[in-house]
Amino acid sequence: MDHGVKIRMKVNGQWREAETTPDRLLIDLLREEFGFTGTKKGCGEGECGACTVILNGRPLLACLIPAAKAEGADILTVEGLTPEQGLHPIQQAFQDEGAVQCGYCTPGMVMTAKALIDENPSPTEAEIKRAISGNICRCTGYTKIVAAIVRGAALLRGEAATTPAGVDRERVPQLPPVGPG
Amino acid sequence: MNEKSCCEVIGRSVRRVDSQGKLTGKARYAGDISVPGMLHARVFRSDRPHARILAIRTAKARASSGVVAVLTHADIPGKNVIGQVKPDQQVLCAEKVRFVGDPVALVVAETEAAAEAALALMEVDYADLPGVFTPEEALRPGAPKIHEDGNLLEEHALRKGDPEQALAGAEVVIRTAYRTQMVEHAYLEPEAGVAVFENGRATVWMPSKYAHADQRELATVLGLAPENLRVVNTTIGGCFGDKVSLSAGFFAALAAVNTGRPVRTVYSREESFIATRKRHPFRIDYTLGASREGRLVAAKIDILADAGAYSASSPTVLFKALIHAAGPYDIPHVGMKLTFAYTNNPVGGSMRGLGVPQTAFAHESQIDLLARKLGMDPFELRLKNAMRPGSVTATGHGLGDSVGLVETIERVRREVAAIGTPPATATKRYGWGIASMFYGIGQSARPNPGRARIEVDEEGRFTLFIGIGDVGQGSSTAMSQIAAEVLGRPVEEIRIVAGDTASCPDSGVTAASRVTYIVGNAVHMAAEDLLTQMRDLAAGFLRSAPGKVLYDGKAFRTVEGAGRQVSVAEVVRSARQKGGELCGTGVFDPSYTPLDPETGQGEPMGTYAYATQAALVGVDKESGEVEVLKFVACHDVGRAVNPKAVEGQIEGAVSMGLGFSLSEEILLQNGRMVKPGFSQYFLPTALDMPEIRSLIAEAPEATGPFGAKGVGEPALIPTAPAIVNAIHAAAGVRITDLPATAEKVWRLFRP
Ligand code: FES
Ligand code: FES
Repeated sequence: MDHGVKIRMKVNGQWREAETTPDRLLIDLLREEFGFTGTKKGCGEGECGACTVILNGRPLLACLIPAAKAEGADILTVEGLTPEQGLHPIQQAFQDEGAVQCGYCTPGMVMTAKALIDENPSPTEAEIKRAISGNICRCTGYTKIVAAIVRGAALLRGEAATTPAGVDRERVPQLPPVGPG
Repeated sequence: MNEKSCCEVIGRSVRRVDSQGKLTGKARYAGDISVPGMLHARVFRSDRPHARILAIRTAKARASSGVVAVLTHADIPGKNVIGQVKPDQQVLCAEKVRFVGDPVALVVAETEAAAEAALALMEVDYADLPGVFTPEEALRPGAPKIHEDGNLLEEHALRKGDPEQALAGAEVVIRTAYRTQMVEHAYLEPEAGVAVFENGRATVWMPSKYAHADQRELATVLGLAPENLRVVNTTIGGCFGDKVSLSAGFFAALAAVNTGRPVRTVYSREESFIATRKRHPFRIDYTLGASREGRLVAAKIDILADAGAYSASSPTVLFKALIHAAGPYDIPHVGMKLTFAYTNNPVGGSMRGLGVPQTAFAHESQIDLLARKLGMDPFELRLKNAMRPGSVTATGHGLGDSVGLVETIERVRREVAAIGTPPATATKRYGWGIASMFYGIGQSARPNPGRARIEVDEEGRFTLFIGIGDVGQGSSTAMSQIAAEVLGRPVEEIRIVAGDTASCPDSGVTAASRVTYIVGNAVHMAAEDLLTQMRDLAAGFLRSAPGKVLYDGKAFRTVEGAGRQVSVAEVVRSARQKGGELCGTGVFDPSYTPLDPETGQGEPMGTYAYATQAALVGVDKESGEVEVLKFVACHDVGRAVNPKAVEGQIEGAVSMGLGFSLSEEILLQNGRMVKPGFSQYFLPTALDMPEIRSLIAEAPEATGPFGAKGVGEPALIPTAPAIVNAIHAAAGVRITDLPATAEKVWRLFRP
């Protein structure tokens, strides 16, 4: 049986400690030990991006590194991103754009977006697509996710969003009917 | 209906009721649930495609550190058999395994790691049997028998008019053989379930698209009365037709009942690939006859499908394929034969479109080939034969008024013309391809009632109870919208409980694009029922007649006005004082006539949705690589309850269709998956996605809630043929077996 090791890391602004085996993955520690189940495990093999967290300012797949490697690290998960009241502007943009369906990719997408915008406050659509190309979404076709990240970046720059705001409650224009050919 | 004119909420892109929880990480998926003292169960699965079990030796695994129990077929308290249509599958195999991944034992341990470690210590003695890996082999005389009664799972025919004679007299005949591949659902949340067993009653939390059916089936396995088993649907991280029947929750429940402790089971991604059901591979032999003017006169269609090791939802898939295989066209003479055979491959299940994406690939490719042969514009050819109100389908179903196909073709045609086609470059060729479809909403030719209940409390707050879970498509939001519209309240003020057998009525399954149309109708009726009850009581209060009482979402008042009013809350309180509960109920079951077993004739569906899609692709002449650049999709959804959600369904389906047409394929070698997992299964990423233009057509369905039909599956159906037809338009080569990988396209350049 593995010997336990003590590790310490800062998660969402608070230092936490755990006894764990050296081969335990960071994702399992975050989810099972610390209860941050917002970080999802879609594959456990680095192929889907659902487990993306921000470690020392950089996006990282929590299913690929042993928890012990995160000793002393500063980690942000979706729970830490969420403000006490309401939503973070990136989350808000995802909601406004309808970029959430089953939601399983969502926390990983949001964290990837956050890391991107931190580094590049005005990403182009092409840059966004590249940044999220390691995050699989089986539901949305990515279109609304890309729009949400554009919008989230604008909100964070303090600009009014460029895409039609508050699309909720807005009626779809009725197109004229077309007769048989 | 409240007196405000329709519609305040229907037809608007209101926010999803569940996005906040999903965005903040608070939404609970089954794998997120922890119960104190919880054990972990892992399934030990067969690594043989076809073998007799001689002995299952569990001693070593049992002795492994942290292991609490190892369960086999002998530990199943109830019946060791499942199969919602045809019971032919065991929960834990007793005598025989029939595919690589068949469950044999269940290891239950204190930690997941301990359970995992013990799996390696399991010993099973097998006597290998010859395997059968294609449906052709399976049906050959003398083939090894997978099930006692042979390898033919199901066979069905359809006959309308006289197809042989009509084809013999047709001026143009096109005959082509098509093949489609095995596809994985690849929802991002792997299966999971948590179960607790206390005082003879079990509760299971799991993603379930049909909690009541899972309750019934699992109760017989556990030997419990259904009322002693509660199934609670958790947030579903995608399902696309799967996550039904034998799932992680079943195994967690079995372990909980045996150990008396809470148990969680979570599949790994590899296990999810190996164990779960797949899209059926089809072989389709399609003959289409037409006049020189492009009038379709006859179709003859032969389908052979690989159903895998067990029946699962094969019968459902077969009927959907039969109803739709002739496409959305008025064809006077149609003949079909569909054969589903057992093999020792992974089990064929239900996946978005239920066999119809496969048949649409064939009929839309045929229409495209016919247009080429006739030198006709493919839009024109489709318009000429498109179903219209009053057209008759291949099953002889005369259509009603809600047939928006022509509008979808016209609008896509205009859009395509406006975008245009880029000129060829030294290495790249560009072209547009189009495809149309129709799709029956709901289950085929059998009763499939949807039920709903709405309660109101003493504060005047409404709660909607439906038996179906939101699989990610937004059904909870759409159902809340319908209730909100009738009850005159904002969507946020309607509480919703979805998929808990303890409190929700049986609404049928979340599948077959039936939720909006069928359950939506039930919700509509339940809301009307509740409103009528409240109005009657309010009339008594106001000493008026119900017909003279107005409702504004919060209170009732008389037509004469004069300040007399009574609030919803007051109505509820007074009803309770008199010992009455206010509760609205609704049930809707679309009318149908069964299909004749000989001819396949009947009126199997309540209504149909229609669509046309077009793809602009670029094909690299050097590598064969196909890039989808633009996509136009127009869907007749009857009425878009939530246009943004409809768009989301279309965009998601385009990505799934892109994978189906270009890259996704489960590769098997003698029934064994070559590399189960995402690394060798090529799902589209953000970089693969074209720009998508979604257009909504609304040919209202009189029997649908506010005219609505559905869109979940239809959005996927024409995507693959649109892309394949575009490849032909761009590069002059015809793909007849999916997926159109770069290598396949490249080979066609060099005959
Ligand atoms: S769970 Fe880490 S990449 Fe999929
Ligand atoms: S919303 Fe389901 S995987 Fe992205």
